[in-house]
Amino acid sequence: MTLIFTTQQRIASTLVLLLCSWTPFALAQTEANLEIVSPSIAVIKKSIAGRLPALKPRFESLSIGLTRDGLIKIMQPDNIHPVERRSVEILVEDDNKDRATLYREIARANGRPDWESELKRTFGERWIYRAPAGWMIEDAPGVWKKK
Amino acid sequence: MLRLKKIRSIAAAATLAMATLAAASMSGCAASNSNGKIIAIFFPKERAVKAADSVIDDIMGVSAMPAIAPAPAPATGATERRVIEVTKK
Repeated sequence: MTLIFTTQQRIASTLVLLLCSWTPFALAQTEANLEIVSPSIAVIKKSIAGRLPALKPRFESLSIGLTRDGLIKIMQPDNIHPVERRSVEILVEDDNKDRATLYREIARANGRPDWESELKRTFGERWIYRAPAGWMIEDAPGVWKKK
Repeated sequence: MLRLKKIRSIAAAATLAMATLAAASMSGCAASNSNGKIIAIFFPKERAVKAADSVIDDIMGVSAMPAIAPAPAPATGATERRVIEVTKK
């Protein structure tokens, strides 16, 4: 079957083409809000928040610090009493598991599991930006400083 | 005959529209998630920052990790006058 288009049809098709080309851009711009509310995200947030009172003194004593990829790390194990060291290690491990799950869940909730690494980086930046002065932060890859 | 022409016009336009949407999706401009909602392909950094701040607020509490202090209010005319008066004394 051969389709022969008249000038009017061609103009109409071009207009439709332009409209349809622009619509996905416009919709993508307006509807790309990140979903951060889901039952699993709420559970993880609560878990991290529940661990915070135990971790906060460790941040303040510079024993642990905030990494650039949104996790936490033991910086100065010598600042931790040997008796408490294992419990702090477990706290940090558990917190990092929760943090990793949080970023993965947010990526999944938005239908974009491939955004996980970008989300980790963004959260890392924001944790560091919003951390109180005096906490240890990873300023550049592998470079630590007191904020 | 006229009706047939109209139908052909609409069919041609619809075909082009579908082809364009497919091209937009394939080129990475837009896509639909599982709910059929059109989402951005590119990582929305600004929205991610807002989302991260909101999550961090929930976890830490605003008072525990304060955001940058608000900028001081611009000096009003009254304040400027008071400053001048104090300087004169």
